[in-house]
Amino acid sequence: MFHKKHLSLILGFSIPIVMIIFVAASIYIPGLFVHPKFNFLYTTNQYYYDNRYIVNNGRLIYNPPSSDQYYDSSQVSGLTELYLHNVITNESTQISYEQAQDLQLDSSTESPDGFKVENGNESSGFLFFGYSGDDSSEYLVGHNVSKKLNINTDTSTYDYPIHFLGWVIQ
Amino acid sequence: MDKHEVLLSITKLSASNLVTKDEVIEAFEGGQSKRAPSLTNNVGLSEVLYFIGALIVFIGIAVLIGQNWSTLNSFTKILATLGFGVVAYFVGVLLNKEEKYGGLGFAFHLIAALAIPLGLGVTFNQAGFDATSSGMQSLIAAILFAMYISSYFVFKRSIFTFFSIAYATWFFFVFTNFLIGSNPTFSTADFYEYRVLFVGISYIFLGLYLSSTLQKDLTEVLYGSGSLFFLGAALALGGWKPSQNYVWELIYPGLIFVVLYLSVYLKSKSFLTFGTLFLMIYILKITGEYFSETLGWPISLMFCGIALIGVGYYAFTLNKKYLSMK
Repeated sequence: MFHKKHLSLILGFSIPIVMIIFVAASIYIPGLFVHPKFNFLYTTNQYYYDNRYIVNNGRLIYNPPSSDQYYDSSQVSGLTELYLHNVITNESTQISYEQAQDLQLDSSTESPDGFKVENGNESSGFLFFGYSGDDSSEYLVGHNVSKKLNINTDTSTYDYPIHFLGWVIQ
Repeated sequence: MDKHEVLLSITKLSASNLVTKDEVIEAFEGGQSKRAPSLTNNVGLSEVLYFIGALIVFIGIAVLIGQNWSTLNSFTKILATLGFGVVAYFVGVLLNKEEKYGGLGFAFHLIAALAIPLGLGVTFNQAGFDATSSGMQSLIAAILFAMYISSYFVFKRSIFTFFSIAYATWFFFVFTNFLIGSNPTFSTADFYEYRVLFVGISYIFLGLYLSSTLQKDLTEVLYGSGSLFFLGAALALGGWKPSQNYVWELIYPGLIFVVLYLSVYLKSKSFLTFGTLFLMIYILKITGEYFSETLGWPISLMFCGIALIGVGYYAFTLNKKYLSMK
């Protein structure tokens, strides 16, 4: 008797609650079972068209900015830093150019195990709905899983806070 | 029959299991609610003016705070928003107790329902939090939902149920926004559409439940907004050529006919209105998307016009045959 009368009330309240649980589960649960294997190398404070650091034949090469490039290279040359991101611990470590040269890199956007580094969506506020994120966040995306990368992007002065260089094969 | 006889009859019926405790309480509350002004029934010019006045008062508060944001101190900002909202809430409660004031209490409740969230936002802002973030808005929506659902249990007025549903909906959207953050797996537009779709279904179920209670005056509001959200979101999920979603476009007529069937089954004009409206929009959309290039716009428009006349006549017949007796 109770269930027959209150079934519509239970359904009315449970639909949004189930959806909240579903959203939370789809964010957190797949990450428990999928583990990316390949670390990656990136720089900060570098335009996406800036080819100061490039990967050639699996090795990192430094190209000094030419004087004909329209931006003032002297202003940014000192800021560009190299980082190695460990996908298991989700931590980045700053490394020197010499250390980075020892790494065997794959500059494909997708790692051999099917992951990509992507910017987060910016969900701007709508009326009372508030913003939920910003595009300065970086995610490791693949196999229907998104893992937020623990990368400090506060010091970046560019729209895209990191510049992906390559996956570390060895 | 005096009071003593009535109570004795209830005792006898209870002893022989012919009446339940819920039924006795419901009968008692029925008498109470008859004294209370209804939320949606008999909305006249004065009620419309009350609501417009309430909206203007709220806009006035918001503009006052906005214009003088840099000159007002924290206490004044909170007092002018949250303080005003709380006062309006209690004035609304007092006015609703007296039948002679009619819908005047609802106007103050509307001011409170708009001013209190603004006030909570200002308060959190002054406390150093980012009130525009989805996390903080989830907290504000949860506080308001708790406040209005508690108010319903204390005062048993439909207006508190209405605001409870409104703030629960707000909480649902901002909390799911908070959960997904900037996660790129969730397409922002699609995710909004799916959430609106499920909120629509949820409203229809809540309307169905309230139709069997003493808060029947909210049923048509929930049926109307539920069918609007459900059909609107399903239409948006269908997309537009070349990035259309064939599955949603194909099942959409079926969803419309489910809503039209519900209009007859539940004797609801809201379902009929929105079902008919969205059937017309769907015919225009599909014609524009698939037939305007092959048949040309003039013939497509003629086809559309005839189809819309047919839909209009069908809705008129349905209303006359099944709903006009209501």
